[in-house]
Formats: sequence, structure tokens, C-alpha cells
Amino acid sequence: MTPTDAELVTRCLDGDRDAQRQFVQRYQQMIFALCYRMLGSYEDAEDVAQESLVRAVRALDRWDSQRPMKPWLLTITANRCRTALMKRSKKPIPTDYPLEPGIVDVNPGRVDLAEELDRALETLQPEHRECFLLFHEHDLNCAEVGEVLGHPEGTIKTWLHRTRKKLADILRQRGVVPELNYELR
Amino acid sequence: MNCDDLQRQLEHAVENREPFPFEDWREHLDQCESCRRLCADHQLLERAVEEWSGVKQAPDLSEQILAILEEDDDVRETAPNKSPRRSGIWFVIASVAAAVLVVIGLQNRDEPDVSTTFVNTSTLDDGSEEPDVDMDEILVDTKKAYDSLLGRAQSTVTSLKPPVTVTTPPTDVVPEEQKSLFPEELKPLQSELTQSFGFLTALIPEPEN
Repeated sequence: MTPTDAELVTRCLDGDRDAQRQFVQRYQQMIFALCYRMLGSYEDAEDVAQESLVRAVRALDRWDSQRPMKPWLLTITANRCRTALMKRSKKPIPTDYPLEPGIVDVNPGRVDLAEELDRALETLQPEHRECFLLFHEHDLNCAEVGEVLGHPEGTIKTWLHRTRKKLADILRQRGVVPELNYELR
Repeated sequence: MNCDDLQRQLEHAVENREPFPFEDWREHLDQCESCRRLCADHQLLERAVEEWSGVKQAPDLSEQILAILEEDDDVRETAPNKSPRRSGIWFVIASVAAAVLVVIGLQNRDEPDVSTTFVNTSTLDDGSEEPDVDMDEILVDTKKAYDSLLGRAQSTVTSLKPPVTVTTPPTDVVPEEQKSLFPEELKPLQSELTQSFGFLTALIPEPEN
């Protein structure tokens, strides 16, 4: 039977290596995913994910077992990602990505939506990017995103809608012309 | 049903991950270009997120992380006294002990017991008669003590600097020729002696021959 987070944490705090291994294996994909999205590099994401998990295991005694583990871990990870981004001298926006409208030459039929979205995300402010990632990739609700980012739920909602609009505008600039389909819901 | 209503309902659907009933809004959407664009963008984003959401498989970090944690534990075991939590406890204990000692000290400090202290009133100067203390005698004794101290200082100096010869004992504060006896390292001593005893020489009466 799979142990609950609280059970696992109790065993981790007792120095149980097997529990620590289980804890890492349970959350490493989620943490790596956020790092990868935030940093845009596999190697950097691996380093920061490792650092975040080590910090999390060391700080398990500060986790409130009455609250969900996921937002707590994502808060630690987001902080580590922000620190890593600050240390970077280069800007996260790739230079070969034209953002000005009118100079794009993309065949709409051949657009890779996932790749375009990835690149569009890199142009966003870090806070808005985190907001989008936490909501859409990690399935946190707006209140939980607010908890992770340290902002009120209302601010998160505003950021979420603004970010979605901006991303849609960028995708349009890249030549993606959406058509409304009434059949979709 | 207007544009504001549609936008509100669409935002609600996004925030709560609920489907949006486009069909219900068909009439309005057929007439409203901006709302049609809004809904088309929403569908585009949903499709993009769906395609995008699979991220690369994370590497298994568990072995590396366990190795780091084990190293940390080893360091802690070799230096147990450096645990910040333990230091904090000892700091609190030490602070409490110090505070207790200060309180006990304040309560038991020696205060003069007025009722039992013996005072020899015969030596007190009440201004009605001359004191029976000879000030001249005290000053002479002080000068002797000063001379003795200065002599000892000189012998210390001469032991440090053998070639120096001392002629006469000083009668003034410090004679000019003797100032040279103080090497650099004893200049502070010279200065202190002058400050402490210099004023006395002016008060001492010349000895009668």
C-alpha cells in the first residue's frame, strides 16, 4: 500500500533512507517539470531540481501536515528557479525568435503548437510564466498558485487571463490562425 | 446575454477548468467579432496546452540526492556541538543562569549596616577645633614615596640601558637630564609619574639645612 505524504515524511524525519528515496521518486517528475519549463534547459533543470529536492528533504520538519505537499514543494522549487534565473547573465528570450509582427514567416499548417507555446512562454515575465505553469501544468487552483507565488487569488486570476491573452496574441503573430469550433466545449 | 456576460462566463470556465458551452452562445458569437476572437483564442490555448503539457521525463535523482543527504548526516555526526538547535538551547540555558546569578548577587550585595557600624567620632572634623593631622608631615612622606618610586623606576631603566649613570635624585618633577633616561618604551611611565605626582613638588616645603 502506498504511504501517504504524512507517513512518508514521518519516516523521512526518522532518517529512513528508503522513505527518503520514495519521497524523491514521488515528486522528482513534478519538480523537474517546473524547473525545465522555468529554465528551458535540461541540464539546468536537473541541477535545480536536485537542489530543490535536497532542500525540501532537509526542511521536511517545517512542512505542515495539515496542508497539501504539492504547493509547498512547488514554492521551494519556484524560489530555486528564480535564484537560478537571477544568476544567469543571459536573458531567457532566445535571440532567434522574432517577436515583431509582420516579420514572421510561418506556415500555419506546419506549426508545432507545443513548441510555439514553449517559446512564447519564454517571452513572458517570470511571475506570469510561473502562474501559467502552476495552473496549467501542475493543476494548482488559483488560490494555491497565489500561495506559491505569494499573491492574492484575485491577482492570480488577473495574471492568468492576461497571460492567456498574450500567449494567444503571440501564437497569432507566429501565424497560427485559430477558427472557432462550436462543437468544442 | 452580452459581451461582458460571455467574458465573465469564459473566465469562470478557465479558472474552474470547466467546459465552455459555445453552442449556447452561437447567436451572439455569430454577430460579435471580438467575442468570436476571444473564444477562438481560448480554444487555441486549450489545444496548445494539451499538446504542450507532456514534458521530458525527469532523470532519476534519488541516488544523487540520497548521497548528498548522507554526506550531510556524516558532517553532523562528526561535529555534533555545532548543531544550531543545540547551540540555541545552550544559549538559552546560559542566559537564564546568568540572569539568576545577577538577581542573587543584587539581593545579597554588601551594604553598610548603619546601626552597627562603629564610627570614631573623635577623629571627625566638626569645624570646632583644629585637626590634629600634620599636613606638612604627610607631604614630606609623600615626597619620600615619590622619590623612592622614581628611584625604582630609574633602576629599572638603568637595568634596561646599562651605560646610563644617574647623578642626583630629582628634586623637581623630572629633571631635563633625566628625561633622556626614559627610553621610548617607558615614555608612558614618565608621563604617568609626572601627571600623578608632579603637583606635589610645588607643595613640598624646601628642607631646612
